[in-house]
Amino acid sequence: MKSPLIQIASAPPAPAAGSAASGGQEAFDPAAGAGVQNRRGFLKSLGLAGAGAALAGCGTGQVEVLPYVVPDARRTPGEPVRFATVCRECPAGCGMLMRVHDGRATKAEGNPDHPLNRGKLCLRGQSALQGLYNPDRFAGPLLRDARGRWQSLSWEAALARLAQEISSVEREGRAAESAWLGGLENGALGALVDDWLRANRYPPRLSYEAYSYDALRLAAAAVFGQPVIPGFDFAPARYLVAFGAEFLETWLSNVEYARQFAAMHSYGHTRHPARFVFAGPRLNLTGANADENWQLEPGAEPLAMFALAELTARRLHRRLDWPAGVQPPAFSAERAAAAARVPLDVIRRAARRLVRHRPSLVLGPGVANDDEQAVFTHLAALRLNQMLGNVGVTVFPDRPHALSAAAWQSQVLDLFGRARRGGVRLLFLHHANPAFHLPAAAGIRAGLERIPFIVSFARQMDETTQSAHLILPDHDPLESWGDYAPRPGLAGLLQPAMRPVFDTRPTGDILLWLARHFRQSLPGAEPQPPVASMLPPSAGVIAGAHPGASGELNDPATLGLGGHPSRLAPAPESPASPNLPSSAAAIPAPEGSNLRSSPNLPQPDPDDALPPAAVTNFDQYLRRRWQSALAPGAAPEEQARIWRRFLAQGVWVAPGAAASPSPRQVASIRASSPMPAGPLVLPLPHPTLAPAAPGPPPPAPPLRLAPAGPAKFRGSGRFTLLLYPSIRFFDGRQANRGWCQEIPDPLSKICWDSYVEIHTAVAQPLGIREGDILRLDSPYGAAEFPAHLANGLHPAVLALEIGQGHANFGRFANQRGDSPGKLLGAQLAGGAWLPGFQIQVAARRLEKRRNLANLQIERQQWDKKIALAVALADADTAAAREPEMRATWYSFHPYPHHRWAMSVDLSSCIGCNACVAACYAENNIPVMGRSACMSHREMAWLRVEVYAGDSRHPPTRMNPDLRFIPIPCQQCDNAPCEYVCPVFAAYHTDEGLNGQVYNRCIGTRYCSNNCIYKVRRFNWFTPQWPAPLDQQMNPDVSVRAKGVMEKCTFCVQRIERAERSAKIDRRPLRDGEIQPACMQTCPTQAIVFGDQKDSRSRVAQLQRRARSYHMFYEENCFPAVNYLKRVKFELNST
Amino acid sequence: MARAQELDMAGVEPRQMAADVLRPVQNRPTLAWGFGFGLALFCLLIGAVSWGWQLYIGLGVSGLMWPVMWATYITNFVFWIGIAHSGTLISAILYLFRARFRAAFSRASEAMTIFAIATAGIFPILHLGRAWIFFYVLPYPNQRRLWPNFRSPLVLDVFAISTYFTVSLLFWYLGMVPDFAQIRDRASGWRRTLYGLLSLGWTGSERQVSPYLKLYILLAGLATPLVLSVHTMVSWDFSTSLLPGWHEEIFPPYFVAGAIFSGLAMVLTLVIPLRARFRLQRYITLDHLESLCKLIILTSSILTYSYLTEYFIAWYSGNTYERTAYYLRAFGHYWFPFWLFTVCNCFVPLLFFWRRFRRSILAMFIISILINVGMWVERFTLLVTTLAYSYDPGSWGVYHVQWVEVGILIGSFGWFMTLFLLFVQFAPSLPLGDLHKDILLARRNRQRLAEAALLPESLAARSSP
Amino acid sequence: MSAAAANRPAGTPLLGLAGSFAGAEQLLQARRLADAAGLDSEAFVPAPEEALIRKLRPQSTQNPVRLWTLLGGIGGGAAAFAMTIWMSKNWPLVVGGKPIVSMPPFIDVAFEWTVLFGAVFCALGLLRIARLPRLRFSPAYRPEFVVDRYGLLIRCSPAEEALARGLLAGAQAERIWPVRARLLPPLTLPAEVEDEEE
Repeated sequence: MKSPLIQIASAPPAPAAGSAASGGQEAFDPAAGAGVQNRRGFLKSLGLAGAGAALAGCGTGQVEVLPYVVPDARRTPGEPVRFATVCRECPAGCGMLMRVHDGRATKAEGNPDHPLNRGKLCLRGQSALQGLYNPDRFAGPLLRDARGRWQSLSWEAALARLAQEISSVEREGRAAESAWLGGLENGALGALVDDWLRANRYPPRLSYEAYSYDALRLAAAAVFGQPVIPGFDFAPARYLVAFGAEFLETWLSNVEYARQFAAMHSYGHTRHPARFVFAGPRLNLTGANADENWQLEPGAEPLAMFALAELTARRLHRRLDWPAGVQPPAFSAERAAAAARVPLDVIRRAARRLVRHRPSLVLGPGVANDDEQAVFTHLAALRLNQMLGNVGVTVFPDRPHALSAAAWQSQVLDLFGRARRGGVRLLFLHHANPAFHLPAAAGIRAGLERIPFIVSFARQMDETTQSAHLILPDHDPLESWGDYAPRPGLAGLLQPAMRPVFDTRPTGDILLWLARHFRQSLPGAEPQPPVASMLPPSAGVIAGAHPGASGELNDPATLGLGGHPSRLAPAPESPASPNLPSSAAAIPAPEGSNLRSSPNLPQPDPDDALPPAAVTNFDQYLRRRWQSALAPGAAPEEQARIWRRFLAQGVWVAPGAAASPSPRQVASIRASSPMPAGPLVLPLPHPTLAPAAPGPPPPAPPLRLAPAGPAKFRGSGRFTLLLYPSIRFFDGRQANRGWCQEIPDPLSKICWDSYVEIHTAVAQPLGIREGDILRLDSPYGAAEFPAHLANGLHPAVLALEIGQGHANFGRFANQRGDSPGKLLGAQLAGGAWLPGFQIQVAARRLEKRRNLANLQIERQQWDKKIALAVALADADTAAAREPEMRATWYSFHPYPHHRWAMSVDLSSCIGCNACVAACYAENNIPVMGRSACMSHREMAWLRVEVYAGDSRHPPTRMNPDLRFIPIPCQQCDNAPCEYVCPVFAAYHTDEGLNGQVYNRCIGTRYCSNNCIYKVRRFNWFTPQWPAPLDQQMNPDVSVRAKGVMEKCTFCVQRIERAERSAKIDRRPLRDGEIQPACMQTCPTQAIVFGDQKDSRSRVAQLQRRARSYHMFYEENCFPAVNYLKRVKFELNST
Repeated sequence: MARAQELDMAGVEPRQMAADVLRPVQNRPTLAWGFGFGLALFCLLIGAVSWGWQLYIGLGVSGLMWPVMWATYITNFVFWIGIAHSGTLISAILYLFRARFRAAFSRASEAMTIFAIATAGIFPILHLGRAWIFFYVLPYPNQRRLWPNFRSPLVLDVFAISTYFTVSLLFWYLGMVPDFAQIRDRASGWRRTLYGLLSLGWTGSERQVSPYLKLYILLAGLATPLVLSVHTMVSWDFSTSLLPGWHEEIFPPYFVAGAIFSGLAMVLTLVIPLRARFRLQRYITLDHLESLCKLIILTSSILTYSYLTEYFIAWYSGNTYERTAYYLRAFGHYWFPFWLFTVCNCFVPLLFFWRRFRRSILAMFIISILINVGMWVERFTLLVTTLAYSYDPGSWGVYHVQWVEVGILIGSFGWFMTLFLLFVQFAPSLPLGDLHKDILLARRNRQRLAEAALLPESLAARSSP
Repeated sequence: MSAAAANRPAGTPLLGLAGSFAGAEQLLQARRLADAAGLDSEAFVPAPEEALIRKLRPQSTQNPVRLWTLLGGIGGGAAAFAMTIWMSKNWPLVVGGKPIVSMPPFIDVAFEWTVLFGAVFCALGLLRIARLPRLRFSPAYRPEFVVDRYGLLIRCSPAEEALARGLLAGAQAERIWPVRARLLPPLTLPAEVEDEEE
């Protein structure tokens, strides 16, 4: 191999090689069914075959070559490039930058230009890579045979099978009995699907989301007249009351809200932090950040909310006027407060503060209790916001969240009800897993079994796809083109960060192929698309510009172009259609380019028999849609330039949209376009909103409040079971990821397990110990879970995390306990069905145990100076100062250039563990598995500990005083780990880092023993990365072998890279230029890194703050990480 | 004061004594020995398999964990090093002090020292994450100019233990040279060649004896500070760290006292069966054993005092880290081992205040076993509780022993017993020359007493010159 | 003829007369007599008694083994200091904020090497001074000398043999025999004493 070829051994995955080979052979294989071989295709194939032969001749086992005969000027091997894309891990739609090393995506980071997340990502967003490289993904299409076994087949055969099924559905005349159940797609793909469904006269798609916020939407419909999820802005709020909304975890847009919350509540961001009151039966992570906790009985939220609203209205000297159709409670606020068992003066105090500290924000319940009662609570909350003048300041009904377009749960139930009755002929599943989320009692599985043919585009097996008949695996979002609009006026663009890992196809391509196969024309795929359909997705879906969003789809008159049954017959002269999608799968794409096409599919070929400009690929579809919208009527070169800019930026913000884009981002968009801002103005949704949901809102349940006391839930057991969304798994979709399983729940600190939380005071008299298996009985079923004794919940509550209990979701997710869905019912209440994750259950201790992998057992500080707090009044005074010693026999380090240091503001840290996930991704930290975590053998270099108060301020029920403290290596000046190492594997660099030389380490583990922060980890086993997870690894960080100590080094590879580029540019390093992975992703900017020697650097300034202290400073190790005390409202108050 | 048993030595014929002591060397191994040796080899095999498994899979097969990164392996190391101490103490320090009860078990305890070091020395290698590159800690010349870190107590351990082993080996071997000469003279065939080589051509000529005596006292003088230094340095593994529960200045004397304490108990454990099995009661008398019991009382008292000091200082310092560590040592997850070793080390040896226990072979044996157990558990508790409950409560975690560690512990006893059984079979297990001196001394004493007409009737009748 | 006698070819020059004694007093007496007679003698003692050696050789208080040990110890300590300091400077890494040359731990290494080299040189000194190891034995040696009998070899010419015999007999020697001036083959021991000369 002496030719100027650069071999990228690790870059291309094996399946690509397979398809390369088959692509090469196929051209000569008459049996491949191509039949038509044009000159160009023949030459292409010839070249490929030649390359394949040359490779085979080498016999090196290399799977790919990058022919750098003409090197790409924009690309240096080894230098990572970044692609802007959109995080599709939840409906929030944060902007993401994928760092790509030589064709491998290695790290997900937030897009700093994206106004939602401003460069930050949560734990789940960080784990997107493990979705991409998930070893359980489908490697190709699968067909279920008569005996229920999965047979893999070629794409050609799979597509032919699908086409055959579509034809037969058409022949049977049951097109109207088809259904598309997909994830929330509001961009080009959504439009394409809508067009395609319309062309086939299929019913409109249902955007399935497990958390659809039905109660909030119903309440908004009553208050604002539109069933939409309003936008929220926490930052201006001066007082915040949340009745359970888990806005720091999963609720709507948690990264955005975390940032705003920090701006509002963290002393690190504001000198006048606002108070945060949390009310609910269980203290979740969001509540853990509250200053005041009202521990409500389950079901008491409406009463407490009513009391608060009523008392606030009284203070405002106004009457609380309820919307029409709501029967106001016929009792007083005092009575409601008594029934809710909240001291009246507490509510009164909150009401007083709500009035005094305006603007404020009142939020209703979260997903955890999204039931009939929640409608009232939401309604009262929205009304209260209205009354307090918060609408337009902190609550924006004109800025609806994308989730407003999600299907109502009742629609989903209805679909499966029809399916059970045999009324569904064909079901398309596109990343929807209702069989896992919805209660077993809802009969999803029974419905699925009655459907004659189910096509799933799932990337990996799940509980719903296992009932499918044909699986056409979709690309991962990181391999896909696409777009997503979190709200009107704001859109993000997805572009592939790398070649597909497996032999998958984008769903959009399949639909386009089907349309061509059946000679249908879709609006967006036409050579001359009608301008009206070129609206950006944001405007399209949310503003209801697409007729598909309204309910009149079944009217043939409104059906768009094409779609006559006669046109659905397969065109026999269709040119080699099965051959098309795979013909050039192995063309090496210019991977460094932002502009490469969908890697799996060829560029449109002019020689193709199709009309010259017809769109054959989804990426072309997407591009055409956006180009004409971004610069309608401009010259093609200009359009291409703007498109490139958009690609690089990854985010589009409508000028004038109240999306608060970052200034840099706006400037950049403006600068990119020489045209006046005018052409960029797109039709924005008018503040008066069109109905967004794909169906009329179900009738709201009768909103009546009983004064007797908290609402009673179905069932008769002693406990109220409360299901709460998981910060790690969302609704369970991230459960098959090692990082999400291994990084513990921030509060329970348990990983790899499902468990039921029970209050300690309840458990102990019953003889229930941690890990004892409890059997829960509800009217709908029984399930068994190990018990976890906790204090943050009401004694009448048992709490379960949603997201575990998968039966068929891959190696990391399976066998993680029982499914909570067994316990829930699915009855319609007053015509609407709301998830209602609350139910009465009986609990019984079984004579079984399952030890839980708990990574932090002790929660008390034992009078040690770890996570300290200071009262707000003292925050900047000498009273906040800890006595600091700096005494040593020896001279201090000279540190000729820099002394890297980190500052962590405990006021800002919300304990979300995003930094931990970022650390895992950046530093190739292996996932050890449950049994290893049972014995504390997790490898996290950075951990976030949680403590409840301290010895002087013990936690109370009303002030749990939870403190989260991220603990990376403290990079001590006088590090105790260093001098004990017999072989100098641990040493001090001249920039203040505690270096660890893995090659030198012999594994005495003395350094870990002597580390007073216990931040060093030991490789107990040879670390495992099941393929292709190994492709995620950061090549800048070495992989540690068995028997070696490892630790945080402030991401020394990033320091080195920045120093190198500064040196090349002959400039000093800028403060903030170096961002360790944890700092980079922290949604609340709690972590600041910089040069301590530079007294103007942020970190040096933070170190001079009065509330700065070093953990265990008495030990004279002089750590480089300083913490800023958590600032609390009156520490001792309840 | 000459004791009766001691005077009894006057009646021993050196030739008969040599015949008694050298009986195993001169004869084929007995079946019982073979059985014991087989058992020891089997235990050794268990240990070897366990270690092999650990090397193959990784240290994860042990119970070690974050934050308890040292546990049974280092416990075994400290335990065996401690055992090693009494050997040199008895042979070197008592030699310098001219203690008369020394000779009876000096040889066995020296052998115990050597084998205990040989056992202990395995553990620092065995517990490494990458045991195959253990030599990185040695200052061997290399092209990369990588040297060990002399500031690390582990490197000091390497020097201390290798020195201790070398000096003890010299002391032990050179002490045996005259006895090898006796074996050589009685043997034939390959044994004659072997022992002839081992005896270095010893003839007892004054040319040899004169420097030999000087060497012996010099080595004893060199070994004595070494005894104190080795466990001091081992204790620095802990006391130079920052951890509450380890970071204590009392550790060096406390460790040395504990080491001697456990070593004396181990001498009892080994010598009592040895004496019975090889019919050496005449040479290792009850008086000798009683002297050891008295030493055990002394060292136990020192140890108890050290324990109390630790707790007192932890309380008196007012330091929350110290207080937490010591509170949790006694009342945390490891309360049982704590109270077990407290009883075994502080209270059980007090039984020796009663003469009945001091003179009952069975009681001595049981108590010595209990002390061995207590000392092992003491080291275990000291290590594990400190690591399990260090500074950050969020990092606290509880360690559990796994089968691999049990296997390796068994293997270490197998290794030790293999060596010791080889020793009792193939080497003089009592120092004939030193005993000969004791005989001469006893004879002179007896003669002196007889001249002064002070000899008890019973003795006069029993002993015949 | 015994084997021992066969070992001794006729005509071998006489080295001296050897005698064995039951006790140390007799040996001392023989030594005193030999000294008084001006005859050189070499004693064999079964039990290494310091007091006896002192009495046998009052002049030999100076013993070079001590010098060997001293030099070995000093050399070892110096080597340890040199090694630790040089190696630390050769690979100068800062650890724990301590100086590159941190003397306190180096003193420990030096102490250990002082003891180690002292002991090793002490043993080497013994071997050198006692001319050990050796595979040939003095022809005067009898195995009983390392068991329970004291021995004395009085070096004498054939003319002095009668005097020597008288001296040994006067010290109550149990047995007396002539020794020929020749070393025995390696590891070949003289047989038990036979009173072949009687």
